[in-house]
Amino acid sequence: MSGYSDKDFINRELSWMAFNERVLEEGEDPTTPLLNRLGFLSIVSSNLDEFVMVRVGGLKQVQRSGAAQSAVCPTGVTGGELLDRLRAAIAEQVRRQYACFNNEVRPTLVREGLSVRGRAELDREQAVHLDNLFEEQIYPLLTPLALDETRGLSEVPALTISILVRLRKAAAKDAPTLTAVVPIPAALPRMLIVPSVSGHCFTLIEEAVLMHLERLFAGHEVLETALFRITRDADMSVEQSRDEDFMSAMAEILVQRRESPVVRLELSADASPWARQTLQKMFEIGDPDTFTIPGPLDLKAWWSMVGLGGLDRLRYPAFRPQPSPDLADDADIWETVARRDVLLHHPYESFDAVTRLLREAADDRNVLAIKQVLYRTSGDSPIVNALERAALAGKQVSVLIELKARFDEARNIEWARRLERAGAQVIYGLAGLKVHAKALLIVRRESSGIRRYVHLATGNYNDVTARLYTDFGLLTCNEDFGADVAAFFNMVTGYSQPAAWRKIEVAPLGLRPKLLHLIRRETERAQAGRRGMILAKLNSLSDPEIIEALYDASRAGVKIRVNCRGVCCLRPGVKGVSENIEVVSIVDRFLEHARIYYFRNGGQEEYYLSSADWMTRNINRRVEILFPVEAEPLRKRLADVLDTFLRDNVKGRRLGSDGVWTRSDPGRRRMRAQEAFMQAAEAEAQRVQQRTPRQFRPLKPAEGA
Amino acid sequence: MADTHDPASAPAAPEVVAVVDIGASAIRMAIAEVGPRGDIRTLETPAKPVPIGRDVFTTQRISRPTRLEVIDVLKGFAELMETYQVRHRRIIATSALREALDRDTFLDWVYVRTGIDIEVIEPIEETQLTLTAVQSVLGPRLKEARDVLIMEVGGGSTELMILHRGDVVLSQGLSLGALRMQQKLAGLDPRPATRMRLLSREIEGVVQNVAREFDLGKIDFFVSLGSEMRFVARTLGERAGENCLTLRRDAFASLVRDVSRMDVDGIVDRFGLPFADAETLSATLSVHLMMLEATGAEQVTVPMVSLRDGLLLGLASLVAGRRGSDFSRQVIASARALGRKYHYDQKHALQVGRLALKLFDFLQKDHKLGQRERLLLEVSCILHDIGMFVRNSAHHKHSQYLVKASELFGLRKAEKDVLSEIVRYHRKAIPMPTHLDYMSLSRADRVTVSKLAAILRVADALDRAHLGRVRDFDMERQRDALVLRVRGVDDLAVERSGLKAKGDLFEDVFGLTVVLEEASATS
Repeated sequence: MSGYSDKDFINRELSWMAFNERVLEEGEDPTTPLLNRLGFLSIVSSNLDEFVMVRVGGLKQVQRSGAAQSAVCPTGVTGGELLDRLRAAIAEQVRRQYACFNNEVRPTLVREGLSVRGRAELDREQAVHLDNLFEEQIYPLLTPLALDETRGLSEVPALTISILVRLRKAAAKDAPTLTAVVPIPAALPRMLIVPSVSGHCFTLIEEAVLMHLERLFAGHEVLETALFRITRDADMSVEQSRDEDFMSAMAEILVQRRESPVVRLELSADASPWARQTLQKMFEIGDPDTFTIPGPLDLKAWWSMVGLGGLDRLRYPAFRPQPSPDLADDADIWETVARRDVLLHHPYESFDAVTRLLREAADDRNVLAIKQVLYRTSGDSPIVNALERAALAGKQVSVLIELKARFDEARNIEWARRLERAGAQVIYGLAGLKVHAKALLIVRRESSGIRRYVHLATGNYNDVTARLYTDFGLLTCNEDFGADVAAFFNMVTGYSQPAAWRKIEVAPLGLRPKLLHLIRRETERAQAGRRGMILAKLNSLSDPEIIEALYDASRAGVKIRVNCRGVCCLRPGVKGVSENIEVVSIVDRFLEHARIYYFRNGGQEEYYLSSADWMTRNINRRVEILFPVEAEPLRKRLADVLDTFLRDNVKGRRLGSDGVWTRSDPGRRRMRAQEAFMQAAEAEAQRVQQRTPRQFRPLKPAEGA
Repeated sequence: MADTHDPASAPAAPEVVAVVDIGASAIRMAIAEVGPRGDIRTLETPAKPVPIGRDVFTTQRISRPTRLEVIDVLKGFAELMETYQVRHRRIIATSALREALDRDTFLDWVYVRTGIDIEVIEPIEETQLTLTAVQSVLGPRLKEARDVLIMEVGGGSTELMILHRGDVVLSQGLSLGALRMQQKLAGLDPRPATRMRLLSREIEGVVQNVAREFDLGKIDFFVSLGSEMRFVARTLGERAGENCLTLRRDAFASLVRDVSRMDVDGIVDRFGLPFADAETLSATLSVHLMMLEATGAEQVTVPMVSLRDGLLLGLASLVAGRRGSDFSRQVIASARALGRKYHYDQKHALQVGRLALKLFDFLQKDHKLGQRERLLLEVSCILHDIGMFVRNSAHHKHSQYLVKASELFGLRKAEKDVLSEIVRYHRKAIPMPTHLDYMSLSRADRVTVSKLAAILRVADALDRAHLGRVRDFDMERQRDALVLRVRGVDDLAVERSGLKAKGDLFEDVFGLTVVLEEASATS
């Protein structure tokens, strides 16, 4: 049908800002526990960093190159106008963030015995402690850069705090002043613990450096200092034509990223006009991209305080992920999955099920092969450890490591090498495509023959984020899934051309046609006078073609309810366009991350899980998987989950046709989805635990242990 | 030959096997699990396009980039075989490699780099494997029909088979290949209509040649194979039982007409086919259609199987320790037909065969040969005397070249070479290093010839009188002798003298003297 106008869409960047505003609101919300408020304020900072690096950087590139604004999402806002609006929105968010931090969170923290002191506020014992710390641990790592106006700029690291210093030779009043920059090494923790008689007391590393500047510039007089932080454009991708040595190409990118243009300059409030001018000139950046920060730079460092011990009263009540009732500790994981599909809802149900599966696979002599896509995984990952052990045990281990996972490259390279040394086959992504699908295949030889265990998920294989992100995973032995996922790995490892899939659908090949087909099928049913319904839970909804198909469906009378955490370019409730579409967003203590799609299909309902959002980037330029959930009890569960999400009236915010998100009014029946899931998981785990055991299974030590 | 184990030890648990088919435009693999009863469960079917045919049909050689691609693909496939710890595998190549002038260096090149030994199969075996696959789907329907035509258009040639009441009566390779036709047309008028006219003329001629050998009007069951036909069947076919689709003649004809009017880009867009497949689609479908139109069949039957299924079935029957009975029957039938052509002594052939197979089975532990060799022995028993048709003296040598020059359904050229040598050594001289034909065989094949010829000589000696006297006997294997206790024959002097002349090779090969004893019927 098409023929929708620009006004029917919401600008993607502005929608992203609105998302960050919802995060900010959680920080501002006095009903949020204090440390969690601090956490949200800190997330606002890290979100803005990534946004400025990638989106603002990109827009500035577009502006510089003189090209028209890319028509990714048609909203009629021109590039220049958009940049102005984004800068204004960023400034406003920073203002609110610091107002909240300075006036509410920080004073309350101090009252609760948790303070971050400036150098002037330290007592004598604390100052002595810092003297020692500086001499022993900080000073050896400092590398001041003496700057003239032409060199050394690229050595100023991005995203860390630096100190601008104006100096003069001591006792030489007429000598010309010198300029230097002291970058604070990123290797050191920003938040330093200082001794305190009561409560927790910290200071920031830059304060310690400022206290000892004369050690760095002996024989000089420090005239003035200013703290600053730069952000560089990071919207750059690896030149994939040079594939022979992807690893070294990647290492090159890491260097290049240091040399790409500066797109934002943040300054401490006490910076003088001289400091501001000097830095602006040095980094070729103007007023619109210079932000004076009314407080300590970069609140990300406060994230480390959110989890401090002994402060449970200031946090959301602790939640321990519960064991899946289907995979109780003593259950044989192979037998269970062979008998029936298992759906895991993280973090309510523990991710241990997945790490345990991998651990057991590594030590099981019947397991022949393990294949896995690793996108972002945690530091000392039990998953990488298990894969390494499996490879050392002589199993065939194939791992596709996505080195292009933004900002994680340096860490990924390290694991990649480790796995290679253990004898695993490591593949560094596909040329031109990011592999975003989450898939695991375990080939096991059993008495009845080969059996393939498959895990498909919406979230990454990362045991740390699995405690913070809400995701779904499916464990199955279904023959069709086994064949599909085996063929999927053959495709991404280059062993085979793409297959004809039995159950799954894969981007960038068939995902778009499949999604459009699913949406249009509802439209056709509605046009034929039957009920049509689509439910979607996702993180971002920004693909124009999908949105237009949804508009068509809405006009045909299909009821559409979308639970979209982040960017949503779909404008709901517009007369004659999207009257039948409702959009709700949940921002709560766990990061909403699952993608669930439901299509009524004339009563033959279909449920899908996916690694892909409905974003052009995911559908066109990433390798993603969409897979159906077919076992009846699991479908029932997904139906309940979707329903719960859509009924959240505590943390759910509704998108209006004006593009504004408003909180719902809980009224009498308060419903908070994440709370409901936590309670349900705990109740279920308890029920399983109390069940009278029907059989006694002796626990045997794992093989090879 | 496939690397197989002793067929007698049938495995209880399922075993994983793999087959790889190196074709003109792609390398395809199937990994499958074979159950104890020979049931097949396919696990993976990866495929990668590699333009071997494009190289060979233009330059007769395989270019370096293509060689490197082949290595890459095979290395990946080898990894996959490793994944499943494949026990039995068979890697074959068909027409494109068969015709490559540099095939021997290429095969060695691949072997050195991947450890994979590619077996280039003859058209006749290709046909037979395909037939096996088709039979697995169509089974009895092939016998119910009167005359069945089975065809497949490959990159370099078109394979055609005609069955009468289930038996193969004609098997031919036609000089029509999709890639070849396309190359012939390359550089000519690019308009689809003109190209189509040229193409039709070419196909027409070949169809007429076939019609001269067989009355195509009698064909009442038309079977089409190949990935293009499977694709078309999936698009507009109707289900006709498990793994099988049918296309109505008129529907198929109108599709072919549509396709013939489209250019390659149009085909890519409309059918979502890869470019390489789209290029040859029109030519391939036209050959099928024009052949169909020359017959009386109203529909095309497309079994959703390929050469790989035939290879898998073959491996499965080996793994399951089963005889590929239906196929052996075809080979024997075609050997008997050849025997009749040269007026063979049917009774003698039958008797020698019975004796030889009995010896073969009894001596399993001594020769450790498989089912395929057993079949070669059986065929050699049928054909060993056909040279007498030419002249009695030195008839073993006449038998040798007659066998070598004749078409025998289901036997590869390499197997026929072995067969002709067995036949040659059924009497007179035993194999010597001075015999050129014999020495040109591989060492393994020379051993096979010696073992089987040794058995054939003994069996032939036991029916020296051509009377079928030795029927009922027991065997006992002693340390250095094989004792045959024959019942119901009073005097075995003729046979003993026969053994004296012909038991030499047996003694050499098995280290056993054959001793005949008359056993009284009562003992």
